[in-house]
Amino acid sequence: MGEGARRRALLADGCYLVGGAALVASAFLHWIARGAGSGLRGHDLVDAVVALGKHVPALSAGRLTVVWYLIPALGAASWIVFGVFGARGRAARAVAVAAVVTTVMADVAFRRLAGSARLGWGPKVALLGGAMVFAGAWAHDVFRLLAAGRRPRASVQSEA
Amino acid sequence: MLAAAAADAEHGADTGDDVTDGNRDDTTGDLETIPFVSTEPVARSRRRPMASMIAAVGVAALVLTGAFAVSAMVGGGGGSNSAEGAVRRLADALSHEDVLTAADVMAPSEVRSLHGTLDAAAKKAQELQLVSNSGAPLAGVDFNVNDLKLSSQTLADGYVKVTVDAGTFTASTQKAKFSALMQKALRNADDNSAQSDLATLFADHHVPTFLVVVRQGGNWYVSAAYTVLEYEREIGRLPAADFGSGQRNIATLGADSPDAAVQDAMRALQRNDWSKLMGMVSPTEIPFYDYRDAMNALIHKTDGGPSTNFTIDAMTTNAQVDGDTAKVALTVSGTTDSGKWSLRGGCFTPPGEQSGIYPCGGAPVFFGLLGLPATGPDAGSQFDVVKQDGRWFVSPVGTVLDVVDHLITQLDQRSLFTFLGIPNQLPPDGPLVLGQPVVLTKTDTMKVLTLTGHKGESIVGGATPKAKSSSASFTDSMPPAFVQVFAPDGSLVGSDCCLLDGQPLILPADGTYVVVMQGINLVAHDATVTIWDTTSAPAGTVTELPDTNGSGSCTLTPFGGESCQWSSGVLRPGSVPAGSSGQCTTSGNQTTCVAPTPEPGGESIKSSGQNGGGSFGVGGPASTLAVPTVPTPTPSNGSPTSVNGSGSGGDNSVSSSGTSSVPHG
Repeated sequence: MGEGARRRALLADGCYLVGGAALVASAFLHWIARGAGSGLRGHDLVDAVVALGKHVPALSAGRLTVVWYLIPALGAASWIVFGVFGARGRAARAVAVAAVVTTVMADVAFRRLAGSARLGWGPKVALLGGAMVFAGAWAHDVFRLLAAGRRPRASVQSEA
Repeated sequence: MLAAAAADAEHGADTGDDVTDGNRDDTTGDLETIPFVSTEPVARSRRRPMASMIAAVGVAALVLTGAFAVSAMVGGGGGSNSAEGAVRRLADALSHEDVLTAADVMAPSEVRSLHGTLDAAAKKAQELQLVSNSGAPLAGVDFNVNDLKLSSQTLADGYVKVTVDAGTFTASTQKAKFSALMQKALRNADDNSAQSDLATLFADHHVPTFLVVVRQGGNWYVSAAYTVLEYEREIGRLPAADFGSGQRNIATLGADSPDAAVQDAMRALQRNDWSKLMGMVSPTEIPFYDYRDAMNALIHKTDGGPSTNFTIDAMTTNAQVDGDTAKVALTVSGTTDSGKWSLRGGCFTPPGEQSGIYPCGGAPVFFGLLGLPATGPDAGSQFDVVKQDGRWFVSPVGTVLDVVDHLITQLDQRSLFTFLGIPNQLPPDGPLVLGQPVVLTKTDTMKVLTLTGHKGESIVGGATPKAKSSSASFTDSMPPAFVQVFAPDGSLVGSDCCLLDGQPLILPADGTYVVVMQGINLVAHDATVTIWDTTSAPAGTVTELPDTNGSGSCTLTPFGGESCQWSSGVLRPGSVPAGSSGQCTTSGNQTTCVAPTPEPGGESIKSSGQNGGGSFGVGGPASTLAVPTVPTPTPSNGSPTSVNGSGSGGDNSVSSSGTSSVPHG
């Protein structure tokens, strides 16, 4: 592995691990900045925001609770997968896809239930974590494709 | 390290098909790099633990998440794992204006269904547009608890007194963040802020600021009941509490059945058996039993202690049991020195002339005065009773919350807007036809009517039945209704309070006025309110000189009186209101105006006041004075003079002196 590729792989791996950590950390942050539920987590938090009367189509309080707990669980899973298979294995990518889908669902649901103005750092960090895990899982391939795209020009230059 | 871990993980997975071929292409995929592959076994053995460590951390995080989820589901997620932690969590909830989390850190046995009540209140507030977002009912209000320093003292096993050694509490309001409705209600208020030192809140009583925290189900919760009782004990220098004794002796407390719990409590109250009464209250909800020595000492501090002095002649209960809770309907009657009394559900009929103060159905006087046509307790009200360790106890918190829930469900736009002082914002019921009576009933307690008026036009009103003299019973001396007139610009027109007292109101501008009629004493009978053009009002309607030049307003006092404040008055020494033959004179700082009516059998108006601004209390029964035309006062000459007096019924005159606030009549 060349030094450049090595650096890029390092960046991708770091991205994956930090994203996983962010997913875990999001569970310990305020999901609601102010008002009802700001100090709550897990099902208490979901109960508090759902009790306000709004609802998200196809996402009951029970399902949203599962989604909320899945976020730190996927963060933890991303580290396990990283340690066992690396950041570019199929398992890592499956976790990354699941993390993105889950965090986007949770973010949309909480925005709808509590309003964007009231969102705390929790959903933001979770969304960032999901994005980083996703980027980490695919960044290496993206870099490689970009490098491959540059190859013909490099060949021409070398021939000249 | 990261590279080592990643490389190690990928090496470890090379044999499996769970790895992409990305690393295999690396050497050919990047033209800038020199192929470099390290396959040294030493390096491999050094890297493997790193990957394993990351995986282990992931497993630990997964276990932590699972444990967090399980403990939250099983343990309810409330409270804190330490006494000081519970107080800090409460402070954090306060700083985030999070009422639900604050309730979550309070002792569950004390707050019971408070969560549901708060939810219902928040939803109702949003439904009525009192708040923009039910999730943030305190938007616009900012609380902050800063620099909190705490210390703990164990009172008993599971009971800790957490003292606030330092800390500040700041509160500020930002009107712009309030809902549109609240901004209208607070149109005259400004943003403000205040700060207080938490450590010295009770310095006047030589007691530090503290909270009592209790352990329940392994978690620590702030106990409002223990905190209040402990303050009472410390301030009164009362005997120490026997913490936990209520729960230890629970088998000897309470009653065998829900019916017996309520009946025993009533009989204990009747016999002034305070110890027994304390034993009938759930010891985990309000720990009176733990503080029985202190409570007994407090009761007997007064000579002989309080005495209820009533008999119970008949008592029936009807309990509906649902698991460990029950609702008990109580019907009880008896006598006192003043006569018979009875209680049917929440309907209390006191003896003698006080009858009617606590009516059932319709708007009670108390809520009517607040502008709330909602009822509190009614015939359907029941006692909440709870079962603990096989014994039944009365639940004061549950009973009160039931009443609050009832009030919340009854709150509607009309009552809320009236309560906020903006009833003119309500959709009108129709136009006001001058001279045509409007009837207010128990079920239709309020009317919002529009009136197209012109500048200088004069209106006056009257209501029946007339309030009786102050020697009559409380409710009979109350006025039947209250009228407010809002100008086209939305402002409350000056002397609106006096419209039903025979003081004409001169409309200040052309436009559509909003006339709000509110029944406040509809207990015994309906109220009829009529507004006339003053020139066509029946004789005897106009009993006071109008306030046309003075600026001021009238407010309803909590017990039915009215207090009117003027910065300048219309009655000036030497002025003779046009259209009347009255004369105002000044003696010292007293101004007296007399407007005698020359007609045979006619009566005169007399009022007096102090110069230099003041108040005018309107009271007593409306007099039957005959003033044939509307007096038009002479404009003020710039020297502020005020009217200060209160009317009282007389044979031929209304004489007044001093400042007073008496029932509106």
